[in-house]
Amino acid sequence: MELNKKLDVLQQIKEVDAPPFLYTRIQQQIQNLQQLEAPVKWKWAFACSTLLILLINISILVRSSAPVVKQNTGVENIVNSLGLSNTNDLYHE
Amino acid sequence: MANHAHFETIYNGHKNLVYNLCLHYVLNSTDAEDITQEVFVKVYQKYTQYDASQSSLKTWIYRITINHCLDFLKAKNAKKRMGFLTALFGPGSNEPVIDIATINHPGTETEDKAALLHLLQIIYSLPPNQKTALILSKIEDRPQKEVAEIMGLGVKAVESLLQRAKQTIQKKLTESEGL
Repeated sequence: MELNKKLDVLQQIKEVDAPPFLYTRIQQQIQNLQQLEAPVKWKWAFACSTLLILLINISILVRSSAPVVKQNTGVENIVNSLGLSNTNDLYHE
Repeated sequence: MANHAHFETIYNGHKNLVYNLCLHYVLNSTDAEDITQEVFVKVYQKYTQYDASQSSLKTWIYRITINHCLDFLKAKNAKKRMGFLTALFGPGSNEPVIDIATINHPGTETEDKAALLHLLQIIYSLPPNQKTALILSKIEDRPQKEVAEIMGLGVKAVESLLQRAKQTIQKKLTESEGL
């Protein structure tokens, strides 16, 4: 086929050698990427401290939303036992 | 990540394969150098994920290179279209186009350079899968079974892609000869 003959010209493309400086550039790029990446220890420390802060916040939220149980103070106990008035009315009407 | 000594061995064993494949796609030595760097950085980073039972190292590296080249061309084509008003108001062709004068492929210094460059210009405008099938089989001279393995397709699918690529090339050659 004529087209196949025309495509055969592609076989004439020569293989060329990769430039020698490429490896140095690649090593430099790899080094740059490694410097940008935080050490594993730091990542774990960050994760743990974030978790701790979240847990503290959650426990505070849970406690503040729990119903408050009113406790009788010592003074109120005395007032009740002596049958004294626990209002501010001066005149008992 | 690969260790340095091993990586150097991999690099030395595959640098020409990668560089030349990049040249066939982008037709420009500067861009081919940049893509080659990116490919090997990716190889270094992802080496621990490479599974030898799935494919050979060469096939794996071929795939990384092809993906990088196609991504590069896609981005380049998108940038070009953004720069021209005709991309907004014109018929809107998705075909990437390259000016022969800008082709800088060191492997094309042959007797039939003009014919070769014209053909490469046409191949450049093919859809990605057809382009890949053609480059791997006609320029890289890989057997169809290997092309199918690299592209993750069946042999019949590769044959179909090659057939379509040839039809497109024939059409464009006829159009240009008719001018």
